[in-house]
Amino acid sequence: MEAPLCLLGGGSSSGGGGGNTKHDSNKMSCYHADAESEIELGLGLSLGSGSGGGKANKASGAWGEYGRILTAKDFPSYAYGSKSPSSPTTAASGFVSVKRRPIDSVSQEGASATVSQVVGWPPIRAYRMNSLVNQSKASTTEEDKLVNGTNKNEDAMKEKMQEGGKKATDNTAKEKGNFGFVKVTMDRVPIGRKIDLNAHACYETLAQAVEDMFFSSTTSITSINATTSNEVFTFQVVLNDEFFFNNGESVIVYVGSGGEKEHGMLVELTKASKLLDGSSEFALTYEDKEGDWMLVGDVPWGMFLGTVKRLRIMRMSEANGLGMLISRFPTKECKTINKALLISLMPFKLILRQEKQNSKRDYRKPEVIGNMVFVVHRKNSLGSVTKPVKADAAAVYGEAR
Amino acid sequence: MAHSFPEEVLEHVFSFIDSDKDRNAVSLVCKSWYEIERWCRRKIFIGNCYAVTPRIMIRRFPELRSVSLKGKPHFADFDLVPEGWGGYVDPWVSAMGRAYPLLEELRLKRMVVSDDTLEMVSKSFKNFKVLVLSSCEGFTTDGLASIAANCRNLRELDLRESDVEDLGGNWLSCFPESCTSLVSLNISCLGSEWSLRNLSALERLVGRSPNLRRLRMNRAVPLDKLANLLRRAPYLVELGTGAFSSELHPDVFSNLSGAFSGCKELRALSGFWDVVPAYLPAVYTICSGLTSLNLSYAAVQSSDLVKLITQCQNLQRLWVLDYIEDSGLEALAESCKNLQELRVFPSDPFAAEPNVTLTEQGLVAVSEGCPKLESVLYFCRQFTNDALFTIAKNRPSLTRFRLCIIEPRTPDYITLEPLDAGFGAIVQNCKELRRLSLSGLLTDRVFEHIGTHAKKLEMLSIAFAGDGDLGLHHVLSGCESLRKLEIRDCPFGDKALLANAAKLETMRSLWMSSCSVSFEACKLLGQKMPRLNVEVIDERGPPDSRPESCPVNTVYIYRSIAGPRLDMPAFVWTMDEELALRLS
Repeated sequence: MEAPLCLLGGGSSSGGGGGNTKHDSNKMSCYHADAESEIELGLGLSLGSGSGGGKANKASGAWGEYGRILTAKDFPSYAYGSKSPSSPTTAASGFVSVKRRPIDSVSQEGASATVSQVVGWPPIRAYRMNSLVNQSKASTTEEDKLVNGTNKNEDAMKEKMQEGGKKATDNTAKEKGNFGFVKVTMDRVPIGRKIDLNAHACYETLAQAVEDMFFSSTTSITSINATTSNEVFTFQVVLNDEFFFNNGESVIVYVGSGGEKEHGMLVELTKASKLLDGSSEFALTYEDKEGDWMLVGDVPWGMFLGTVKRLRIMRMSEANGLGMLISRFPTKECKTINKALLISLMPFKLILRQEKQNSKRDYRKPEVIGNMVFVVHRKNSLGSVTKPVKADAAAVYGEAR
Repeated sequence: MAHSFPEEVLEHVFSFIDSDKDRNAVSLVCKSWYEIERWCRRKIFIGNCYAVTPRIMIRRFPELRSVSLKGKPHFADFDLVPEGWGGYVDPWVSAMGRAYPLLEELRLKRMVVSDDTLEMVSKSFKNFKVLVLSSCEGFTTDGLASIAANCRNLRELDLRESDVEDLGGNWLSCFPESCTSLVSLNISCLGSEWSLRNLSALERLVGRSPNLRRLRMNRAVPLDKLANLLRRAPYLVELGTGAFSSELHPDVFSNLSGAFSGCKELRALSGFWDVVPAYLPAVYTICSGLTSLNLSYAAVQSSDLVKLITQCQNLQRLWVLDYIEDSGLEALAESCKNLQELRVFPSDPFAAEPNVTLTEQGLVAVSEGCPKLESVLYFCRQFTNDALFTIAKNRPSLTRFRLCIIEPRTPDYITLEPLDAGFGAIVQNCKELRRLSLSGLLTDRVFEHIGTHAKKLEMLSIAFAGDGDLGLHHVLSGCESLRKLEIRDCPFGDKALLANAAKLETMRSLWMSSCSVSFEACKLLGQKMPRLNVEVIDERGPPDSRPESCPVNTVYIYRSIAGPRLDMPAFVWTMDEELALRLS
């Protein structure tokens, strides 16, 4: 019996209908998260039309399927001059910024997360995982203690343990009895979490996991400013929050227009972990066996594992007495494609400059250049593109000078 | 002519009725039966501690002797429920301390228990006999010490899988010398480092407990102590060993083997941490009597496992690691024709490449060879629709089927198709299926099958599956017996949820995390359905700080006559009418 609850009136069509039409085309794409489907992140939910009923489905096909692409018409513009797209001539300096509402995408969309990156998957209880890991380490040491009447069985077993348990034992340098899970808390955040230290082999991945837990991707693009001169486009992509991405991860900024990736990938940036490089407002610290709070990363990994009791993300304002945070890891590496240059990377802003191609389009005309799609992605160190951080569309206006 | 029987007679008749369902039915017959029944009910099971309040329970059933409570939702086992969510047993124990001085049994699952609570338990109930803390947390060995010291007639202390903080000390020695009533002791969750004092306290305790039938020890108990313990408790029915490793020594082996052969009542074995294969044969003498074998901590290769298992002809339950491999499962299928339950756990779930040869073949073999198989939990890396067809055809008697293909959204590895048809065959053929967990690549089709055929399904777990709202709608509208539904990372949204709102009152609970349910829908549901508690769990801050159509991180919906709870942490919001008004 269905209660006649109808939340959103007519609602969107992309929810129910989308489910069916999408199925076949989506067979492989949701499994192999290829770049195509990554970009075309559904603009579901709220975007101005209020039809939140159907959630943005996984992507396939052109933009049009998901409701209109927003243009500057939908949003108030904060421009110095221009209030409507049809009169860009009034934009004196050529800067028009368009304010965007944040689009929150469902976290798993487009994700081809490897098993170890997903919280609570596979569904195995923590105590079981701890036991397994500690066991393979313990068994190996037990094997070492065996009197030399070892028969073939034990040799084979030892080999197997070293093969099968290799990954676990490589990760573990802890004494027997020290479970892998430690509590992690963050200042002024009421909820604590637990993290399995045995699942990490180095500080980088640990910091990444901690960041994933506490700093969720709610960054969105606040505004995109574009200016153009005869030679060059300059885009300034402003985010509403510090943009966290991790060591080994890349951020890819795409620019396309009118549904096509006309300019394709502009920039790929690789950055070190925010929590480790001292550029963040936060510092990752741990309490050791003696009860002292130390900065994570000070001692060799193995020693750290043996002495850590719990972790805490401290706000820098409260981290006095921890000594200076020194940037220990390489920071920005930037690979430019399509001749876009990264001018500057700050916590909230990417400023890119791209030289114009000598192509058919004459950008000198003072008109709408087109809808440009900025998509900011994370790509992990294995090269697979993980969850997109934000997708956004912005009408970019520019004026030639 | 119910009213011509005196109450005492009816009470006597009712005393033979044990099951909760039957008791509930009895209480609905007429007012006088309701009254008589409520005064003579001795046992109660509350599947969700927030569905009802202690006061309501006490008001209706004034003479309970045994109370079972469950707290956190199942997905708390996998870290999906942030710490501090709730499930505190303290208010229950306080209320019961006053109302039920004769309480004998307390069984808790996934609840937060403090040392103070344990002390209260130990002092409030003079006749306290049974304490089972399953997957609980929040207490230390000090709390256990008060239980040991004050519960004169303690029969059962079972801490299965709880998270106990070990403060050192020697709580086992707090059992008074006069305490000889122990029947069951399960401390397998405790630490793996113990002092000699603890060990000798355990030995003495076992020595003076002639009624001890179930003993599950923790890893800290070394193998060379096991023989002595066994000789002190030869009537054990269930044994959980400690660490099963030692330097190889013929004396230790023969001592152990002799001790085992003295335990002729042994039916269940578990533990086997750090097992050295050479010691496994010590248990051979009792294998033929074993009905339950838990080797899920035994990192032993297949041939050793097979040698052990093939001697257990009467085995009904086997839990094992995937080291057993397909070949081992084939051997199992040959030897253990009474097998009812099989669980295969992964030894290295995060490895990029499989470390063992455990595939769908193993489970197919068991389904072919074991005619009584009814419960399966199987972790593996690959599966096919064909294998599922075969399993469904072989074993229509399955009641619990949980398949976990480790990588999310893995298709049939041969045809590359979704596993819809395979799981469809399972629900279609296994008409008595009560519990199902899905994995692999799945579209809305599988939910169509489930909604159409899984009429007896009570619990369903879904992850990384489906295409849209239709999937959820199929399940909610089709599964008549559904009690618990837990979903993570699926594209299910508002429409199906709201269209099936009435269904939610017939279920115990619905969990949806990382789906597409909007805050707006949660508010509406909370407003319209006063007997549902709609909890939004979101660590990003108050839901009204984001657009209403923004999906919430988690929504946990459960039926309740207790109203919204008062112990919510900062990251949980209930959507009752008042709140909705305030927020809108």
